[in-house]
Amino acid sequence: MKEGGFAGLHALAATRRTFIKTLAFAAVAAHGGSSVAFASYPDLPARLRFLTPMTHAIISAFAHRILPPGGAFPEGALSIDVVQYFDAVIAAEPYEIQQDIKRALILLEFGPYLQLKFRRFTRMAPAQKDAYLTTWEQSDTTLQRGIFSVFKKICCLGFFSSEKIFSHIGYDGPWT
Amino acid sequence: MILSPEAITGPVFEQADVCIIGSGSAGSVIAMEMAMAGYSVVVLEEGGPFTRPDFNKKERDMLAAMYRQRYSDDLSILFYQANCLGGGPVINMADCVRTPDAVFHMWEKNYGIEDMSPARMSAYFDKAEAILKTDKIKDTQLNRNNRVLKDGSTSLGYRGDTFHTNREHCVECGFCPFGCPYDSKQTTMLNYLPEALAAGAQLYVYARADRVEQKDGKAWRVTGSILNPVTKRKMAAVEVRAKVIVLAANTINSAQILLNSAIGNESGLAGKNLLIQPHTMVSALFDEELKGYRGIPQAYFCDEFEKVDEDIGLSGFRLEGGFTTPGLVSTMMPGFGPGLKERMARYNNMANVVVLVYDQPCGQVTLNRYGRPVISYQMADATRGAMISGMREAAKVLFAAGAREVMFAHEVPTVITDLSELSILEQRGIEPCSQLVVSFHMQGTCRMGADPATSVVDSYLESHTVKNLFVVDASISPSTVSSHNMLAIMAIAHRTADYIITNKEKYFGSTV
Repeated sequence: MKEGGFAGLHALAATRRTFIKTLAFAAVAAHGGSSVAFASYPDLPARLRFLTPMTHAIISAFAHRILPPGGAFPEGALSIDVVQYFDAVIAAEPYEIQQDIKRALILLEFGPYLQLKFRRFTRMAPAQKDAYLTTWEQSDTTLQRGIFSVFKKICCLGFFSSEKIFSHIGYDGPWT
Repeated sequence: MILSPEAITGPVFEQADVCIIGSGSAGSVIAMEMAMAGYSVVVLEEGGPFTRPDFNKKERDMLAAMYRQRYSDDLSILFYQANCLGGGPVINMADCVRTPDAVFHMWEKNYGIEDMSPARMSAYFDKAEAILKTDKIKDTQLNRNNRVLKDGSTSLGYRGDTFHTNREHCVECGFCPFGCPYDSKQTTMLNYLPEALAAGAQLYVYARADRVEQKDGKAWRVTGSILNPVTKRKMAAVEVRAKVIVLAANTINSAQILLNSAIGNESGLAGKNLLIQPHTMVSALFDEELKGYRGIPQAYFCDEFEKVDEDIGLSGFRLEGGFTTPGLVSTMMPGFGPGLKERMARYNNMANVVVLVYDQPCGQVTLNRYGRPVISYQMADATRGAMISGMREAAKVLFAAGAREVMFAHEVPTVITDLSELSILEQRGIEPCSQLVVSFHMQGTCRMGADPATSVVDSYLESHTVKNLFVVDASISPSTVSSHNMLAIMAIAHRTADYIITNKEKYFGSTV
């Protein structure tokens, strides 16, 4: 198993839902309990339908590493409405999918505690975050790779469908 | 008349000769045929009505409005379905491909399907093609992305051709998957459904059928919900009593409705035998600018590696030119961080080849505790092998056309600059959630067949056990019906309408 993978635990879980639920619970417990874990996140910057202060912080940190500012062009996920897009996409999903997404975000945040790295994802340094996300991208656990891939696809779709990005990639946009 | 929730203030009750669940490739055909034959028709469509003024060419808006995206239970496969009045034809690439004769022969031989010979079906294909105004794409209409596929495959001596499609006076804007803003694509919204409406059919939009009920062995009632167009929450109940009920809600939702209804599933096969025609993508960078998103997005195919015979039907894979807007293209980009942005910054110089693989039934649709569908699919070794072969051939074609580098849709980047590096494909294999796999052409969950023990509906698509209940959509296919479902399903729907009308006394008594 690659570092950061949850293959052994996945074998114990019958379904996607129980796998994510079990691991998210374990990760929060390893952190020290829910009351400590869920505190101290910034307030929401805007009114959102799905995200809470905690999950907003987690997906913002994720999106920021997937699509960082600089490089080929200046804009990054946080200068585009990627997080709001993520919120809208998930808010349109049925209840049980929203619950899965919420738990998957919690697992992303507290997953390091299961690897005995005592720092939650949102509080890691950028290089640590990238290394941690690489363990998700390359994990031997299918669902861990899947969660990474789903979150990444939503962020990319929100980012590159924004008209603010079109000129940077040479796309001349919808005909008018 | 199209009835939308704004006009509904309380519970809806309708009585009709025919109730059709779904308004896509199959539902629209049945609606038109039955209404024009003089029967009263009520159609329940879960999606909303979108027409030319709504098609703003913005993928964000249109994806949210007209699509339903789902993942398999292990998150490894992304399924795209239409969720709008008119169904798949409104948002598809307009490819019209007939079912190969050998597939019909195979169905007869292996599944005992009666009265569906190529000769019998020919008239129904002719009719659907005439209504859709199908025509072959001219070589001069190939955009640069499709030109790459043609040039590359031709130089390798591979067989290929341009598609037949249902376009008329196409301006080649490239926004076909988001609704045609010029009404060039001859969708069901321009032919079948207007004809049905003119003949008196009633179409309820944002109307979700939840259950079909039987009484004395016959289907007699559909119950469901009128949905708030914004929140999609139930705002009123709907009940339709009908002499004939046609389930045409597509492979996922027809199975869902049958399972929720707990009828018509004595074989235990409702939801089973799912085929998905898995697709993956192979893209490439060229020195010259291609702007593959302009022009007809999917116009040329290479079927050199597609096989069809009377034992297993369609097998192997085919390559198709396919390109689209930046958001969707970005979802197949590997890696993350600056590298991902760098790759997308070369969007105008990219080409993309779709690898469409023919699979055997390996999946199923079940219900979760809320009665919503859960899709499971375990890709067979033969399908994985075909997908790797398809990726390999796509890379060869792209290099033959002059690609500087070729990139596969793995999550961890796989970029090669030379054919000698192709062995990376075998090293990587096809692992779930390690590369993009999408499905647009799901089939098989309500399989037809002569034997009630091994199928859900009979040769005329009527339930083996619930009379007057028909399932008419891609879910009835025992094997993949065609590389592109629309035309085949329309022809099959014409045949079923013909059958019901021919046997009108059986289904409607002497009152009509």
